[in-house]
Amino acid sequence: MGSLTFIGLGLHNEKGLSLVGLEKARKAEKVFIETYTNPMPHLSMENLQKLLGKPIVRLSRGDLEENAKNGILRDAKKMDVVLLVPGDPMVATTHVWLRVEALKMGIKTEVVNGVSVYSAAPSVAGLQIYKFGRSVTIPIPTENYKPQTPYDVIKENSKRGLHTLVLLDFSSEKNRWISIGEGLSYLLEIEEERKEKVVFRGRLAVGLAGLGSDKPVVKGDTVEKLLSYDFKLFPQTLIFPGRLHFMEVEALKVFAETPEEVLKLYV
Amino acid sequence: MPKLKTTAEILKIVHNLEQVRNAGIIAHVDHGKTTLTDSLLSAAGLLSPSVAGTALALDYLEEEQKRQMTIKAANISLYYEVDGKPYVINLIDTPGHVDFSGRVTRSLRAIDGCVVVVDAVEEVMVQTETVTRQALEERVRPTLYINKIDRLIKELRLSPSQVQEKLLRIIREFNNLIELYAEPEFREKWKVSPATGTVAFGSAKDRWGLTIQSAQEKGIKFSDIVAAYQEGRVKDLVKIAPLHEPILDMIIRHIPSPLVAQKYRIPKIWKGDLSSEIGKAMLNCDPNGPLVMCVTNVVVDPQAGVVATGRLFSGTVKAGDVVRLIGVREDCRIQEVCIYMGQFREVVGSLPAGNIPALLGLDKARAGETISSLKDTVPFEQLQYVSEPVVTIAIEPKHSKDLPKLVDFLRKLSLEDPNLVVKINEETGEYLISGMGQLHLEIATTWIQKAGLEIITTKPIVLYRETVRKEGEVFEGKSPNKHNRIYLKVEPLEPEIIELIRKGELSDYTPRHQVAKILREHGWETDEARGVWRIDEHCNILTDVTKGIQRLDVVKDSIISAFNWSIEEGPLAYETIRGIKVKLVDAQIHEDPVHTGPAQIMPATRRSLYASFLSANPTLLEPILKVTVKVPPEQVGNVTKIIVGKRGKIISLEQKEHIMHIIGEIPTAETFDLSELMRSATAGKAFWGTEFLKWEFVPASMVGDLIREIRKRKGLSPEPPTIEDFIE
Repeated sequence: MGSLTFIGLGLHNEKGLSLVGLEKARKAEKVFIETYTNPMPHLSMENLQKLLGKPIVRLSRGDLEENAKNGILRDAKKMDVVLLVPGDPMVATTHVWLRVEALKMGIKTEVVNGVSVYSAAPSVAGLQIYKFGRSVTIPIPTENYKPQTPYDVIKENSKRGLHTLVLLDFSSEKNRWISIGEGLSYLLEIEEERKEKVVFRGRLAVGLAGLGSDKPVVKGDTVEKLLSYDFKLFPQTLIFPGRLHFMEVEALKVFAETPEEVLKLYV
Repeated sequence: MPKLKTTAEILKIVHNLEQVRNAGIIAHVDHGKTTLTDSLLSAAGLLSPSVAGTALALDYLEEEQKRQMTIKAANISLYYEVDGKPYVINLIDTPGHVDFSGRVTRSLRAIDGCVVVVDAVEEVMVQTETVTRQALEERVRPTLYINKIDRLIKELRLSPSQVQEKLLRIIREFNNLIELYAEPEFREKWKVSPATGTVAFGSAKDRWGLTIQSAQEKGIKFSDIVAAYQEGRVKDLVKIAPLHEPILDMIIRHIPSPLVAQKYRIPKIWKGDLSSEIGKAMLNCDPNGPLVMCVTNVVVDPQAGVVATGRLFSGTVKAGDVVRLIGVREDCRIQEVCIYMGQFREVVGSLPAGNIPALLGLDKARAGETISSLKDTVPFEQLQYVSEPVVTIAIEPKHSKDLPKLVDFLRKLSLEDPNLVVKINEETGEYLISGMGQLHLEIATTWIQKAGLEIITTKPIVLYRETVRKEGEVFEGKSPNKHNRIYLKVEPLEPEIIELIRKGELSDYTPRHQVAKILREHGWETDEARGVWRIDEHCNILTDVTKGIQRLDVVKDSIISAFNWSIEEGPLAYETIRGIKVKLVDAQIHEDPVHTGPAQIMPATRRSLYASFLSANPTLLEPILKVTVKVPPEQVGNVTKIIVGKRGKIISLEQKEHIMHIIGEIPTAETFDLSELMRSATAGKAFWGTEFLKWEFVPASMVGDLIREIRKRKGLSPEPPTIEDFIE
């Protein structure tokens, strides 16, 4: 009888792996890793393999979606298999389907949580998690695909005074991240078309980069200012705050060096 | 001799539209269109001093005459005087063979009248009928030129009275076509008759021609013509009765000027609002109105780049103008405006409505494009294609180093002739060219060889279509990430709707409220008729009948792309799908746009479409050709035996005078050795031709083997997929 254990890697490098995760991965007969939505540029495969004492096989999106039944699930039927996933295994990139399929096939499953951007971003910015509305991702736009959903989500949340966590996509085919600047431009273009005053140049936003590292970059300012701010590290994330609690105002001032005159409008 | 005129002199004439004629020459293959065109060009072609200045150019012209080369210009302008008044005649190129029918129809849009050439020996043939019908459908006024009188005298040795009889019979047959195909208001007015001077006859090869009037004026009788041939005095005949005189006279007197023609042609060929500013301007051929031009020909000139020629229906076109290409929805700057002088282009800076400008700089323009100064101009109705590509060959260079050159040339070819479709087989790296018939492809390969490229081609392959025969079931298509589900249902599209799309009356360009109206009139439910997302040129429709599905707008483009992609290659044998209605009945789309990109939605859509398609009694369609044969009665048995032996049918058998007219149909797959069979069975006495007729179900007993054969040829596993391959 085999098993499939999903283990979260956290956000920055191999040191985000929890002790529980480490222990389970060491015991596994086969260890896989997927990095197609977050390549974790600071993670060293060499160190990680040394830590686990065994080779790690990298899987593509196809291996985990189209070909899962003839690949990882077949292995997990026979032996103890671990899948290492950036962040938390069931949060941003969800592997829920894979776990459901495994259970249907009679495979034992387990989840070892990791730090997700969903908790790290509010945490580092000092914003309160229960004041967030729906989150949304800005995809890498193509000629035929430039959805306005991110704009709509920010609009709905803002109307209700809620914060919006905006994730910025990575494309493994193009090997490219969206930066905070590009994400803001994406939204400003929609603003120009729709003119609903949702994401305008004077609006407060918080940019975050290098979450999970020793020196994450957090900066709160107007959209205008953030457009040209150098965040240095990837991946990057955005937050559009809604109405602010006085504690949040303090936090943004101190943690994110947000100018007071910008904050005034959000209290 | 060509007419030496300065561009300025010609510009002065073309600004007065009463002195302009836009005409074309159309004919059945080999009836003498090229010889006639060459003859007109050498006798009346315009020559600007800048071209004539180099003696070389004149020599070049003569050389071309000697070799009887077809001059492949989009337009040739001629100069002729009638009653002391100068006229400029634009002869717009119309491809000679019906395999090019798409192009014939397109160029008909630019002309107000035509000269139909009929071979006196072969008489009215199948393509004479096709092109004349097309001309009448575009309200192009026909005149008749009966060619190859020399053959009646020299080969058939007919007496003067027999010659006359034959001519009258051809005129009668030709008028029958007008009776049959012209709209009531033009039926009587446009019939040709020697008495009104709308019929000419002669020999393009020997360069003489007459109308009954000119013969009377010059005192020439049929017996004189017969005598001239018997006594070897044809040269004298040419001197008193040169061919260009009756032809150009006929064009100027009987083909209307653009000013007159546009008043009744625009309502037929343009579907926009006639009372709008643009409608009024076109009706009046107004040089001060908005600019509207219909591009009928695009070539890539090695020096000038893309040259777009067409008919300017309204406004004045100027170099430097930024215009809208309606079809590709882009703005483009016109670098140069040219006029044709003979077959050469001269830069003129600007030209008014009613003329045939050649525009440089419009790199994205394609034949059939509508160019306008107003962004929301209704384009000219989608051009009606009588034929569809049905035959394909694979082509490769003999020396692999020639590949880039070949690729370049193929790109150019497909640009110049949109009916020639070039594709790369991703698996094998082969280049595939598809055309409207074997001859079309032979001509294309000849062009390639003339360009100095050595190539290897495969035997022609018939193109099939995939379709369904009953309503399919709804199947769920999952995206690879399992976050999205698409539910489609495939049904056969009604034959009358297919016909509307084929004729261009229903297309992606038709305003959606009109689409809904037309479909409701044909029995569609309101929500089906209103939900149309896409009508494609292979006669398929995608319609959305869902209500209130969240985030459907985000994935609409991806679903349409997947529809197009699936139509291109059906599940049975990767052949194009034809004649299906695809209904989007439900969809579940993930909240976050990062999970709903094309890479997720397109496979989901395709799976659902394929699964439903396979549940709808799928089968193949094959192209059927109409074959028309004229033979002496004693050969009828031999010919019908060939047709029937080729899985064919005889549609009609009719005796006309001493000749039997046989009309039949044969599947294209059976026609590749038809030439040899016909020749040996009738001792070469049959006149015959083919053209695309229709798509027909492949006989049930043959479908399975045929699918396996096509799949093997394409390097696929021989058995087609099953529904289970697309669902979970």
